[in-house]
Formats: sequence, C-alpha cells, structure tokens
Amino acid sequence: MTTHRAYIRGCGVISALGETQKEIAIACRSGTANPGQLRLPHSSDHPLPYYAIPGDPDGLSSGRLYQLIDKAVDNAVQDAALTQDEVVNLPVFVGSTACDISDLESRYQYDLRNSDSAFPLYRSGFGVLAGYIIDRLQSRGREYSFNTACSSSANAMLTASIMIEHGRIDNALVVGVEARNQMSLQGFNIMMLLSPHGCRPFDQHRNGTVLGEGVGAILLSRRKPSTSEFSDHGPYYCARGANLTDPENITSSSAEMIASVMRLALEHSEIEPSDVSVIKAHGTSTPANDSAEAQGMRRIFGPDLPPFTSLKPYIGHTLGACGVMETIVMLACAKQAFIPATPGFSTPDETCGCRPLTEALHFAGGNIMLNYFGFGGNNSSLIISNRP
Amino acid sequence: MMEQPLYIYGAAAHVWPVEEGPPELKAQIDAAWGKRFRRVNHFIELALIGAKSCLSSPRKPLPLDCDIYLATEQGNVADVAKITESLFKRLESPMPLEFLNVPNNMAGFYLAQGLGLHSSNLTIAHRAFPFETALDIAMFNITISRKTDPRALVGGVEECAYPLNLHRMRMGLAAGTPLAEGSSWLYIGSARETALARCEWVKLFHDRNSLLAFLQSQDLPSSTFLSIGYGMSESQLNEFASILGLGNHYDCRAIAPYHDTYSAYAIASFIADKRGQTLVHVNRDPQDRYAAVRISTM
Repeated sequence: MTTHRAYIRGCGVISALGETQKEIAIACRSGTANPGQLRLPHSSDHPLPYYAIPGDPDGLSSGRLYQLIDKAVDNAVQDAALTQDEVVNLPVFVGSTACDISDLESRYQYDLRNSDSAFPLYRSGFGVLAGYIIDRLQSRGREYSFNTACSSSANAMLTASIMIEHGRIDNALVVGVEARNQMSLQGFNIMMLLSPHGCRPFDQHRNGTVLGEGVGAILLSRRKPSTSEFSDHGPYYCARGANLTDPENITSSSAEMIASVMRLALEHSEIEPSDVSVIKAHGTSTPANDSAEAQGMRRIFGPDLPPFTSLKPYIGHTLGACGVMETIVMLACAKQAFIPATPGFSTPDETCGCRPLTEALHFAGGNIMLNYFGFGGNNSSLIISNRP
Repeated sequence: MMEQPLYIYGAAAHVWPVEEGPPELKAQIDAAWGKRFRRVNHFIELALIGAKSCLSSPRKPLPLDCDIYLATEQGNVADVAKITESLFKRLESPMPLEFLNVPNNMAGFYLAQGLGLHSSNLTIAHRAFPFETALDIAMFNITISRKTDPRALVGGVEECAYPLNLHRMRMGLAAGTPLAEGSSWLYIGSARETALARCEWVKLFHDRNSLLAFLQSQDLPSSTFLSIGYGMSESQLNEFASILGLGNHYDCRAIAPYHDTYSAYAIASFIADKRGQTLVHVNRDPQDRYAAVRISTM
C-alpha cells in the first residue's frame, strides 16, 4: 500500500546549459540550441556537434569526472537543505552508461605516454560512482548502481521513488552521470547514429542524435518541500512509472512496446491518458526512434497528443544520465511556468504524424510524463506531478 | 514496511575457474537453448548459460512477465578493456557490434529475447554486494507488486578480462589470487507452492555489531549453516560461528574462486545441495559493512 510521496526536494546539475536551474530555464525559454563542435581524434570526418560542459575544452583534465559529481551532489544536498542526520543515512542511487570510463580513458592515455607497462582500465567496477558518493558524504545509507543504457538514471529514480512511497527509505539521492568519453562518441559515430548537423527531434529531416555530457542529482524525499519557490505551483513528486524491455529490438524499440511502457506507467500512477498535461519525449532525433516513439504516443493518446517536447536539442543526449538530467531541465522550466519548445523541428514527418511544441507553452502545473528509452530495449516511463 | 519472505523455484550455480582464457560456452549454449544466439559476447553467453540452467527443470512455468535482475560488478569488462586499448593504443574505432554489446544490460536483453519475456529488466552493480543488492531489490519489488503471482529471475554474472595478472590489479586483488567466471541464478516468486527454498531476508548492516545483534535476534536453529563471502576472513567466520553458536559451515570457495557475485554461487549451490536446512550467508566490504541473506530449503 502506498503511504508516502517521493517529493523532489532538491536538485543539482552540471550541464552544457549551466549549473543552476535558473540558467537552464533562461536558456530553454529562448528556445535556441547551440551545441559546440567536437572533432573525433584520429578521424578525418568533419567535427560533430556536441553539448559539452563549459570550462574544459578537451574534457580530459585529471579528476574532472569526480569534480563534476561533487558539484552536482553538493548543490542538490544544499538545495534540499538536508540536515546532517539525513545526510548520514542517505541512500544513493546512480544511473550511468559509461560510469567512470572518462576517467579511465584519461588515465590510460597518460600511462601510454609515460609508461611502458600501460594497460587499459587501471580500475574496474560499475558500482564505483555510487560508492564514491556514499564515501564522500560519509553516509551509512545503501548504494545502488543501475546500468540499463539510456534509461539507467530513470530506473534509478523509479526505484528510489517506489522505496520512498512504500516507507522503506525517507530520502534518496539519485544521480545521473555521463561524462565525455571516446568510447561512447566513437561507438555512436561508428553506428552512424550521430547527426553532423544537429538535433531535430520528430522533424522530417532529422538524421541522428547529438551527444552531450552532464551530471544531475535529484534529492527525493518523503518530506514535503517548501512551496515558496514554486510560486503558485505545488511541489513536484514522482507519481510512479514503469520499466519494460522490448525483447525484439535491440537499438530501437517498437511502437507497441513504447506504448506498453507508457500504458503501464499510467496504470501504476492511477491516472488516465487524458490526465497527462504534457509529455517529455525521449526524442533522440534518430529516424527510427522518433518514428516509433511518435506512433507509440499515438496508440496511447490518440491522434491529438498532449503537448510534448524533446530536451535533447538543449543539452544533447546525455545517455545514462538523461533520466535525471532531463527531469531537472523539465522541472526547472515548469517552476518558471513554461514547457520549452523543441528547437530544430520545422517540417512534420509523415512517419511520426505529430508536432512537438514549436513555441514555449505556458504551464500551470499538472502531470508530466517523462519517457526514456535505451539500447537493449530498456524502456522506462515516469510521471511527475504537482497535483494535490 | 515489512517485506515478505519469497520463495525459490529454481537455482543454478555455475562457476568456471580460469587461468589462461575464458571458458568456451557456445556448444553448451546451443545445446541448452536449442538455438544459436548470434552476435553475443562472452558476458552475454555467461548470463544465457546460467539462467537457462536455472529454468531447466522448472517447478513453476515461467510467466511472460517474469522480471529480470542481473547483478554484476565487472560487467562487460573484457570488451570494455579491449575497446579502450583499440581506441588509444591502436587508434582504431570499435566495430558496431562490439560497441553495441558493451552496455551491461545487453545480457538481460538477450535473456528476455531467448525466454520471450515482456517485463522489467534491471542490471544492477555494487562494489561489494552486487548479488545481495539485486536480490534485495527483487524481493522488495515482489513484495509491493500488484501482480497476483509476481516472479523474477535474479542472477549474478561475472567475467574476467585477460591476462589475469592485469585483471587482478584492476580489482585490487593480490597477485596470484585464484579467479573464476560465474553465472548463478535464482528463480523466485511470492507463492509457496512447489518451492525449493525460501529466502527469509536480505539485510545490509552498517557495522559488525548491528549485524551480530540482528543475527542473535533471529533464533537461528543450531543446525544452521554459516557461509561467508570473499570479503570475510576465516577468523571472522570462526568468531561469528562461536558467537552465534553455529557449528556448520558451508564453504564453496575451494571450488568457486573469487568473483564479485560469489554470493549468488554459494546461495544457489546450497539450495541445490541441501534439503530441510537453513543457510546464513554473510559478506563484508572493505569499509566493514555487511550483507546477510537467510535461506531455508524445503
């Protein structure tokens, strides 16, 4: 029996758009997207668009990954005004695809230059980031690490919120981490999933996604946060969701399976499709993914979809971190009473049969559906809400 | 909230002590599954062989909505190391299929595909207690499930990257530490009927004293077997056994060398070996935190 709500009590974020929710909201309100350029090493290809965190052009400085994590986590803890007692017992949920590979790559490059006995991955283990955060906070809480590709931190958030709802834990720090690394960049490039031009979700001329990096931290709590910063909005909480795997499609889930996970998320949240105020689509801007997602949404909501948008044109596809990152971006905008437009969209695509927001939408609050789909058919759909 | 005990309908414990290279599994997989999985890497093969074995003589048919929880700390470490070396030493990009198999959840995907499952599928890591953490989440989700008969497959899967001397350094292990690859699984649910065993609880503790206080409150039968993970020493085992008054030790370490999901092996092995007995499996991390699991076989 559900007895509590998992309120979003605080956030910390480091992204291409900035380090505060205010900066993010201002950038999103403008409706423009400005990725930088990044040239793949040892490649004759043209530079690719990429959403880098400002301040480190090559992203290779020593300890960078951990500095980004520290900053996002500290900001979330501060934003939530956690007491020392709460920190001491804080469980940590991390979702990431590449985990600490950026750090391992930097070290290997250094070792190759300076040692005859260099070997790749001086350290291994996918639980290392959650462990690092737990140790740094000196928390006695449990640590959880989720590796489910691009739905990783969405699944971390879903699990944490269910544990809070059912009274198992009081608070949870959910962290999405994805720092720039050559493995992801080269891998997506070799699979021809990257656009040389930019992110154009649901547009007829979309031709690939644009990667980005970021660390986001959300503090979920059964304690209702102060409503002052939400003006006339009540505080947002996670109202459940669902995770389902499409066992037939490894890189691009079918419309049917995407519809299934959205349907299950609605069922778990005990709301009807008509109760959804707005959708944050996964919207990668790859031809197959957007088409399947649009068709999946139409199966649930009919031809007249609720207003929907994709946030990847603002911060890039942050892979395993996107669950937390895009929730924070959506929340930052919702707090300022708008839902951002989808930059890059101009020409409707028949295979999608829908139009994302082309202008920012005034938003007075409601139920927000957040969709995240990953390689390996791993699909998650979450509902956050500020309805009483 | 109080979590309910859950029931275990199938258990498979597989370990491959390794030295020079990975075990060859393709023929075994073809035979077990009756079909060929193309384009899969070794880590996925390990998951496939263990999970299928767990379901080889099912006491309950597998429902299509059976969830999957795959615990691993090292994940696809061999491919990640290989690709990293290619990128920076040989200046070569990964092949598309090689890259596609790198996310750890690909093993769960191929399992779902092979078994025809449409369900939740989580890959979970933990630096010290990956299997205990996955089992704990599975148990929690089954307890709160709205399904009438929720089920899950929970496995611990680890591969090694070769040569092993480098892999030991990665994992912070002493030179020469014997290593294994492993794939051990439990098929679990909430209904008692046809169960092989019951998992009473999975607990994590901040320190030794809270663990011991809990275990002393559990009224364990004196015949209970005590088992330890690789994070604990022989002297700790003896100390715990003495404090708890438990004389039976269950120890698979001689046949199952170090791998991060050894706990899955010990638990699944006990279920296959013993009838009408109780096991308490305890593991410890370097920060002196503990995980404990209690299993009772039918």
